[in-house]
Amino acid sequence: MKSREKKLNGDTLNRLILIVLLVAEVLIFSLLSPYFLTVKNIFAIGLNISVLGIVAIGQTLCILTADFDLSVGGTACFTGIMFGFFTVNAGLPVVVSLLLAMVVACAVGLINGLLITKMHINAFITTMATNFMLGGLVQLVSGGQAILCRDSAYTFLGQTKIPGINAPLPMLIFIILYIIMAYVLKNTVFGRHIYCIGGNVEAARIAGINNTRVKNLTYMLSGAFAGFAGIILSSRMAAAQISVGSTYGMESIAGTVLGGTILAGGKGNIYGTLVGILITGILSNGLTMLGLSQAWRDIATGLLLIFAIIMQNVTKNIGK
Amino acid sequence: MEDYILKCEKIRKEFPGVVALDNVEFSLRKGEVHAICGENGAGKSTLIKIITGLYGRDGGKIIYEGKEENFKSVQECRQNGISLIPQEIHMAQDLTVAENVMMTGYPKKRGCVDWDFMRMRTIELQKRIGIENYFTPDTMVGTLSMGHQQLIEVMKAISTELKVIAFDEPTSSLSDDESERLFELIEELKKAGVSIIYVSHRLPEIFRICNRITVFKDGKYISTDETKDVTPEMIVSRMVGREMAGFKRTAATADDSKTVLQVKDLKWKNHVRGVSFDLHKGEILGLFGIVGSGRTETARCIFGLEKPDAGEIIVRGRKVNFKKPGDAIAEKMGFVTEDRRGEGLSTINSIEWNMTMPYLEKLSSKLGIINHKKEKENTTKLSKDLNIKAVSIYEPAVSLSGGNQQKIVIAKWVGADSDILIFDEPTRGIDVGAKAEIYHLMEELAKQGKSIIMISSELPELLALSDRILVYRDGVINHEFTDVSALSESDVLHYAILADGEE
Repeated sequence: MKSREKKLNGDTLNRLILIVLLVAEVLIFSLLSPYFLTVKNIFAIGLNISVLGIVAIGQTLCILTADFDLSVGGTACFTGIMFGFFTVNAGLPVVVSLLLAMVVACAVGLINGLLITKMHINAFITTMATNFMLGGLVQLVSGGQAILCRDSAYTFLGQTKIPGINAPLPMLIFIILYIIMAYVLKNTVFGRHIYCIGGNVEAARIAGINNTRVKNLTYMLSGAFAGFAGIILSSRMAAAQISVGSTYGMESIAGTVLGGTILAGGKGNIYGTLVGILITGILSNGLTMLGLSQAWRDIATGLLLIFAIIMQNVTKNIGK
Repeated sequence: MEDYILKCEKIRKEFPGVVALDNVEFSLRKGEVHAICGENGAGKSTLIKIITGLYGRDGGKIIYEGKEENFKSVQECRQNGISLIPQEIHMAQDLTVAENVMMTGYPKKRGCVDWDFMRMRTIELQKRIGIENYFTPDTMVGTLSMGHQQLIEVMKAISTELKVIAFDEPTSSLSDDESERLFELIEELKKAGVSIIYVSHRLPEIFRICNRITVFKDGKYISTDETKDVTPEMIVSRMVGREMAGFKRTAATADDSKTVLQVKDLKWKNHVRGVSFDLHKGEILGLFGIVGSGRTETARCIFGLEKPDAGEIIVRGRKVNFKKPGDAIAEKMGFVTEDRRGEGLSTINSIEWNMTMPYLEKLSSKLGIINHKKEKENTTKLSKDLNIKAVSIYEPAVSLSGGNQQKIVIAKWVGADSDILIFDEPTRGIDVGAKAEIYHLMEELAKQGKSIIMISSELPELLALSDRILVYRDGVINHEFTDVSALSESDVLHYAILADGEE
């Protein structure tokens, strides 16, 4: 038995296409705009995509188990609001309210998981329904207004710049989380079980994998990542906003799928998602620099997604 | 010659790697009920699927009503009066009886569906086979029993002019009452001049309702006789006697003094109705029975995949109550399932990942970090031991042949060091060479003192491998053979499809 062979099969080709796409984007935008490839702008991109990027980690885990989580937007928003609520309205120390808000985020994820695994409700319906409820809860808790907080402890996570290089802290957190989760997926039993369940849930069950536990944990993690992203956003804006995150569900699925994780589950990885998020994030940033409106950015993102999926389908059978 | 409505000459059908039908003959007289018998895989269903347009054929002629015909589809066959009632009835469960019956072409009035006509027509069809009291045209099909759904299938068949109807194992999912009703219906159809092809395993009912019996074996035509000229024993003896890939157990390895697994009066739904047996150390225990007789269901209960309604399972002297397969695996049990792609493998994942699935924890640290080096060594060794032919252990399982895929499934449990192994149809759909390898492997495992339950519908392999054979019929063990050395296939088949148990 030979060791891992590097041959040009569909998967490798696909990864290559994504990288080419990313490089092409960077090249084109840096030619069109002198400001694009400056350190300042790179950090701006990093800061901008870090929130969605963290959400997409959890989404990738869910999609790898052959489900998805549409409630990430609601979870992010609600957790951000709870962070503000605990700090401002309840007057708790920032660290305590952060921990409490994270408990809320995990609880939301766990509820999703339990509804899916124990009540056998389809993941689409479950997470859509919880997303609705979270939107309502946001309104109730906040009273329909953003919760402002200029406390330096509150804004620490979102507004800190790393001394020396002046990079935004959220960008660093985002990168570290990707590295950790890539490690978890590749090297832990839990990570492998996620792939096995997505590959064939019955085979996983017969091999003794506790599907219920793994799925619950996956949804809990998805809730935790979404919630943490919401906290960072709330901290960055020095205010818990009531209308953020509504597009996170679809955008995180788009980034994940763009990165080569298949919706049927069992195949894909976290680095793909990172590239996917980078591609959409840079596209958005570059088009903004060129003075195009949000409308054009949305259209471009949609087109890019379709193009990428077509490329995936074309390359799928190469090398087999 | 005019009394034959249908004649098949030298019909040939190949599936990848196997010849399903090898120049078989079949003829159907007008107004007769003609049975096709044979073991699993003899080609019975394949032939009627060719006749009714579901499959194409690779050779041979079909002469229908005196003319050579080449119907291309189920629809074309149906328009010409040939219909199939499949073994598994698939209906739109959330539509009404009328909607299902008329599915192939809803009657229209001014561009809209003509509901009144549809209901009228459905009732008319119900009356023609005397079932107008069973359900109304507006009954939801999902609320009806299998037997009633089968009747709807018959109504569909008679909605065009019906000349030939083929039933594929029609009584396999019916209750006794429903079966009786079906036999009456067949009698009615016969009176109305319809010719009937009846495929079944159940010899008693064949001898009751059929005029003639044709026997297939291994895709070959064996015989056709008037029912009155033959006995069930004669038919059984013609069905059996297939070639085996030259395998013989070298020595018995069973240690009857050590019982590793006891099943006592196990019951599960309608499928397992009180099953008891012991499994000894180093033994290969064969379970035979026709499909649906409760063998697989017994195995699923033992392995914690289904919760038994009653009965006890005792592993190494201790009563167990498995809630999930993980519990059974903890007791060193393993299950090579019947459906390789559905339950055995995650085909998009690598050979390595599949092989270590049940015992990945053992190859990992306490914190759950996988030791990739150990995993690779383990997988490489198993691949070598089981002679799995693949470019590398990182290839996805889907890229391998059926035989090699099956070896991965077995390797999972060898790697998990299971002491009690259940093999459910371990050689289904794999080539002769891989079959022989799997037989040797099973023998080797028994030699090492592992205990094996082997479920198989292939009598030759079961006879060659088993120390004992239990014959299932209708959810119970109808007979136990403690000595298989002088046993013939017909002896075993006799208890599976003919005789009642001796008690």
